[in-house]
Amino acid sequence: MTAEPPDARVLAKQVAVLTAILDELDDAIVLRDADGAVVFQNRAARLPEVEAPVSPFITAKRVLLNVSECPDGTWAAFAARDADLRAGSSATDLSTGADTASMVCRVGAASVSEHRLLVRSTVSHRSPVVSCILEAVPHSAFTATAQGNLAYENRKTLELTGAVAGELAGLGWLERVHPDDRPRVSEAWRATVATGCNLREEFRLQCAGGGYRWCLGAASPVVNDDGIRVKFIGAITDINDQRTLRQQVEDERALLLTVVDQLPVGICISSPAGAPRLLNKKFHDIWGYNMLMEPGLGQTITWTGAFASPTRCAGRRPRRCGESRAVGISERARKLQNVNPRLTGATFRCTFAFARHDSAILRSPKNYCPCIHAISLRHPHCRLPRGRPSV
Amino acid sequence: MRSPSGIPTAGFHADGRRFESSEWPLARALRECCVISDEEIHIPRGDGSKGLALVSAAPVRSSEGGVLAGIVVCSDVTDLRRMQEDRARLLAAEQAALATRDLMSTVSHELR
Repeated sequence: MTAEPPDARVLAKQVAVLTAILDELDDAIVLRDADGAVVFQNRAARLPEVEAPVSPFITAKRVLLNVSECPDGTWAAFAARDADLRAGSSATDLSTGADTASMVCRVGAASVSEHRLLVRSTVSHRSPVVSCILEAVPHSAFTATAQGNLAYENRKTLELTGAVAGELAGLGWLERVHPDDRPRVSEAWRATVATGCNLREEFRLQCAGGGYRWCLGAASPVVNDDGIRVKFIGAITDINDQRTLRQQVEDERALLLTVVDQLPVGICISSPAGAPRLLNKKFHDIWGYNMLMEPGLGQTITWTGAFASPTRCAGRRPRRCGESRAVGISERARKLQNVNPRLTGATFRCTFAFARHDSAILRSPKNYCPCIHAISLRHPHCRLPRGRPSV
Repeated sequence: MRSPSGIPTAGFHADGRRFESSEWPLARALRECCVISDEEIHIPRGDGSKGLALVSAAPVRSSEGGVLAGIVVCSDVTDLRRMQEDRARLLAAEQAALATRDLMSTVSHELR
């Protein structure tokens, strides 16, 4: 966008708009002429207690700040080297050297009320330090506004996606996400923006060649001194090869387990430290419940798991005893319905218990409750009762 | 099977001694990098019955010689051992019956 020589009235209006925008910035902006004399300072630079630094944003020998009127009547501001303007080329962002025409267009498309915010956001996200860091990292990186609109993507992101600058802005990047993954990713991103929690989501992203590749998207909020989220910084990592490899390993493991399960002997594969990693069915059949526990009664166990209580035994509760904490719910608990949160994480006096593999079943000696399941068996002192357990 | 990771279980020698954690075949195989073959372990099952397992263990080594994993192969020989004992008992009974028959035959012959 090339600026036409404005008349005095338009120029005054442009200067007023630009001054107001620059005054909103937290960074101190100082403009110097070719001789080094200060020709402009924004509000942050004029603060007496702050030594006004010379921003690397304007380290060029001569800098012009240009304000242009967009077709819809809004204003766009950008910095340009004098030489670039003389040559009639589009404006150049001095911090990165990247073309900012798209930024100007985006600003121009914004409404008047959003104009200053968007300009400020754009300038802030493209600050020299952030830009240099994000351009230096070997990953695709981006920043987004606190409202969740992508404001800046580094060169790696554009190379990965094959997008042109500005195409991914706002929520445009969602168009690149595989349609099957888009609702999930959109919901996760919306939750991240709403709550400020970290984002970590795997999804298929349309890449430069047009095909989809699995990527890991991660983003974290940036919080200012007042605890307010000002932006998000994130990265996109191509994990297609890793995921393919992981899938192959899982498939081979499933195949191996299927084959091993058919063997007429018990097989246990352990870690080098001896921790069991794979047990086939025959192994469980041979060792039974004895595999994971010792006989005994009346011992107090501390579970690091959850308890599920289906409806048909809701009236019966094991006795609570002491303290405990829950660390999660195992897969078996997820399959059960009516997980009772009141029982989750409680410590029970295990008077009659046995366990198998990754789950255990609690029962009391007089009041057998077949549906109280203690999940995520990681306790060291589970005791096996005498007698035949009725599962 | 009690592993170095501390998973509790119980097993007994033929003389009734309990297996210590360091005595289990897997622990020995990993510690000594050797193969343990067909070790008999008497095991109490969850239903109160007792069983007998033949357990073998070996370390799995990488090409550089490091231990990648441990593997245990076990088979339940409770029924086999019971059948062997029954067979031995039947053989003994048969031998006794044959001996008795021979004795009776000899006595009968001598009496005639």
